[in-house]
Amino acid sequence: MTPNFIDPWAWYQRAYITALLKGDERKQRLREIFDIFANNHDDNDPYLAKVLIDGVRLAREVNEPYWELLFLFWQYRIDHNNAKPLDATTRLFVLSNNKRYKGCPILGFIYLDMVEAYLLYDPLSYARNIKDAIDYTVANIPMSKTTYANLLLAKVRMLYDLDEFEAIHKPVKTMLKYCQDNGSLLAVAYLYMAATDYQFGAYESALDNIQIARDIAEHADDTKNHITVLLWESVIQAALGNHLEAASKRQTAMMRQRASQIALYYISFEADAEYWRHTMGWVGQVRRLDALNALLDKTQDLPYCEFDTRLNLIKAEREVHQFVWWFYRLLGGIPSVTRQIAIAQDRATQRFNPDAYQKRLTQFIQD
Amino acid sequence: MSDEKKKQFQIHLPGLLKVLAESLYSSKKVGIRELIQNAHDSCVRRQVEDKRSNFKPQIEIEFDLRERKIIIIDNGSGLTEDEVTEYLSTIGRSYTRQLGENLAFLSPDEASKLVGQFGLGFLSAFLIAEEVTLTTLSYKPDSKPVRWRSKGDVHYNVSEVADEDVYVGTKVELTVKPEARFLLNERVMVDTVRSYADFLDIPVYVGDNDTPINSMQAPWRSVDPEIAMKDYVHRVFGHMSPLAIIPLNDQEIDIGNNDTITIPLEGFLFVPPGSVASIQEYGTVNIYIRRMFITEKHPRLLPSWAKFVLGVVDCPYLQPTASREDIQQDDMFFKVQKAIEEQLLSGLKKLAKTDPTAWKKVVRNHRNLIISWAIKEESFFKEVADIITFQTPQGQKTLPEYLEDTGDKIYYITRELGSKQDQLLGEGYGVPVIDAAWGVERIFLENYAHKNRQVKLVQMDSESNQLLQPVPEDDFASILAYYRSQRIKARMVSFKPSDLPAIINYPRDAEFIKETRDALDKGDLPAPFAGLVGDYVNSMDVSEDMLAGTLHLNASSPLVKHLANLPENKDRNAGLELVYQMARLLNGRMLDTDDITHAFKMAAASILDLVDRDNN
Repeated sequence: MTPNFIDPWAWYQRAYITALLKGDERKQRLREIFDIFANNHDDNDPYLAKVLIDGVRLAREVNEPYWELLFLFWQYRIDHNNAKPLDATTRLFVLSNNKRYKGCPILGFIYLDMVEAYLLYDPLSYARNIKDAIDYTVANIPMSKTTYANLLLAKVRMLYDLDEFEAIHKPVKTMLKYCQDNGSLLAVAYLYMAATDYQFGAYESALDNIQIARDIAEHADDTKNHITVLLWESVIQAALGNHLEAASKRQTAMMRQRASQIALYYISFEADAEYWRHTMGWVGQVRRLDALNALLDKTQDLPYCEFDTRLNLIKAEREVHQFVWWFYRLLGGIPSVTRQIAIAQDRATQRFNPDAYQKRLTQFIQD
Repeated sequence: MSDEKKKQFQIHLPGLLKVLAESLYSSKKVGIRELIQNAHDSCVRRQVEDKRSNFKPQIEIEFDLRERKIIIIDNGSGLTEDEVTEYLSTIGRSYTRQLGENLAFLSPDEASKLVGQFGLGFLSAFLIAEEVTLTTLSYKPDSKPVRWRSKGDVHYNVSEVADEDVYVGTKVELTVKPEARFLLNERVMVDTVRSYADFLDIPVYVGDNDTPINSMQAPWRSVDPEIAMKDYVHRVFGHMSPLAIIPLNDQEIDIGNNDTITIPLEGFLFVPPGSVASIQEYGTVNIYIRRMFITEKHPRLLPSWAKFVLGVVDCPYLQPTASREDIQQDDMFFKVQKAIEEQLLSGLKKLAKTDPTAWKKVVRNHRNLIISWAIKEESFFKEVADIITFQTPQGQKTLPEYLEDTGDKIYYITRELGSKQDQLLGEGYGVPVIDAAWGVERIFLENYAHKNRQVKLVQMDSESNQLLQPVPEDDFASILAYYRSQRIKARMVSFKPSDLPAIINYPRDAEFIKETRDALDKGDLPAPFAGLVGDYVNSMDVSEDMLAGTLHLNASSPLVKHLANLPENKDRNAGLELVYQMARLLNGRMLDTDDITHAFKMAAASILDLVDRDNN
């Protein structure tokens, strides 16, 4: 099923032209206020919040609910520094379902934010809800092609996080169809194709896809995705035994990261740890434990990522040489495997859906 | 061991000329500016060196449309053949710089008038011309006229001129390139000269005009600078009525180690009227050096907080870049910036003191920008903390003015919805409540209280209970019993204004939780999302008791007193229900159809009964 595609900004033009034709200066000001916000948005200055407050007030005064929701949407974003924390996203979502905003063309953005917020927070507890929410949104909420591609990406990310690799191919293919004019999304689509191939051990195909992703990210001037792609290329090259090439790609990624100071995605850190898995010798094994251990700290606020990292750490502890493991433990790096499992179990019980976590943990231990 | 050989760089002159001429400058018009500047400096030199003659400097620009030529003529000092070779044909050798150095001791005032510097300016002629011919006669005795000609390649020709009609001065003939043909239009040339050389004190004539086209005087040097500056603001910046104008003067600044330096400054800053939504950022200045225009809308010379200011700055200490289209950000740049900041701050303070109406206009027009920058910049905050105005029920007031009324307390509200009741409550006690719905205003007030320890902040949204005085509840037992029976938490208090019968207070998240629960109950949220939202709301830690809010009934209200004296019947209950719903409405609650229908049905039934009783 494909959504009902719309241009979410068409009403914005229409509303302004209508206000112009009617000589309604207050309604014309709505667009002028929004343009001021949009033109200065990158500055991130606090007065922009005031612009949005003015916008909400005026939209209420002249009874323009679509404008009101548009200003409210950005107010929530600005208040949270463009992040999408669960609290703000849920509040805006509930508000947007008020009847007065029915049919508002930007609802697609708000529904997408909601899906992304829960996906980031806890994809395992909410797996069923997120899948249903994506299907519902696609079926019922009109949206742009880019929003649709982003929804598909959310689905792909969730499937990847839940290790449902065999289900990834189809949504990625669909996603590719709808993001041809968006370099960043296109690069991410190829990245996930490559990462999935890698999980299946299809390294040659993974290399083809990651190199396409790299070219696109570079061409799109998308530093964050470019770094992520380079890290994954280093993993794939290492898996293919091309250690020099792998080290070079990793080095480039690290240098770019240091220069840009960009915060990386979880999947980038995963790649960093995975790289050491293919690196020969005890140094590589220690670095792998170290990378996963460091990642545990970074994922404290993301329950699923923390849980997943802990499972990867347990896996790594089992795979590294006994001597390395003891050496690392003696340095105070990590608790024992038994203790790690106990911590994972303890964390699992604190989740919204402890059963899903327990099930995954049990399956992991059995494997 | 091999012999080390010393070799020389090879320069491909035509390539170098092309790069310098075409890449150094962003606009072809700059070529005209550079040639006018050379002409100007030549006149200054003659003023200094040839004191015997009754010299009246002037610059003329003529056109020969048939030959596609622009001709720039000055009656300045002219050049000897040696000077032509030395300065004109040696790239980087600046005649003006040399002259400036020579004059610095003997005639510092005149030296300060010179505007050239890098020795690259003449090159810019090749930006617009495929061939340049310069004919010159030096003022020095026994000089012979010289002609220098170049097509911008490696060769140039110098020859003596027999022509008897050559006068002291210099004539530059430019055979204009096809792509610079637009400069042959007199209107374009007039605009170009005005934009670059309007303030130069030597008259510039263009075409057949008998009067100089440049005003030859900066507005701040005019006989009536105020009118001239306003006229300039209108003409150049397009603002009819600036809210304030602050002239710039020489400024002494502290440079550490108990040392100071005086920065020579000319020009003025002004505050334009606010634009839509009052957030248009300005914060730029047009820069002149010794009255020659360098660049417009320079964004970094004003302090970062001055985004509500525009202006014109002329400072000889600023160093232009080689293209003379921008300013070098060297040590002196920051000293000049500091000098301007000090003048701007003292100018604003003076305005607030001497013309409070004008200052209030400035704040009203640019308040958002001023307040935003004040919380970012400590020094700016200090300067404006007492002169920024806030919206109060009695109009715009500065915080010191406000505190005169309230003692040492600042009452403010942060929520747009639900704040009306707090405002009413404050007004009832004669307490003006500041509307601080914008988060930045709250931070400003907090900073203010932090810096003025005696000042206390009272956030009315959450602390308004302190204006409610508890009263004995015995006389109101029956109406309290009614609310309890409706599972509404109620208490008796006394507050002003007495015509406000009740207010209701909810904890912070109550509104969101209640609306979400309602939406979930009615199935208003799409099913796949309902689970997510429900889980989230259930995880919020708010007791059911708190969630219902507390109804504060005003014991001073005649309506409440009257209701308390009525026997328990449906008329009284209808009144009590209306009081409750009114309090909710005042708190900013969105009442749903059921609430409204219920309350009005009760009221309507009660009124009908009264009518029936009257009829009977």
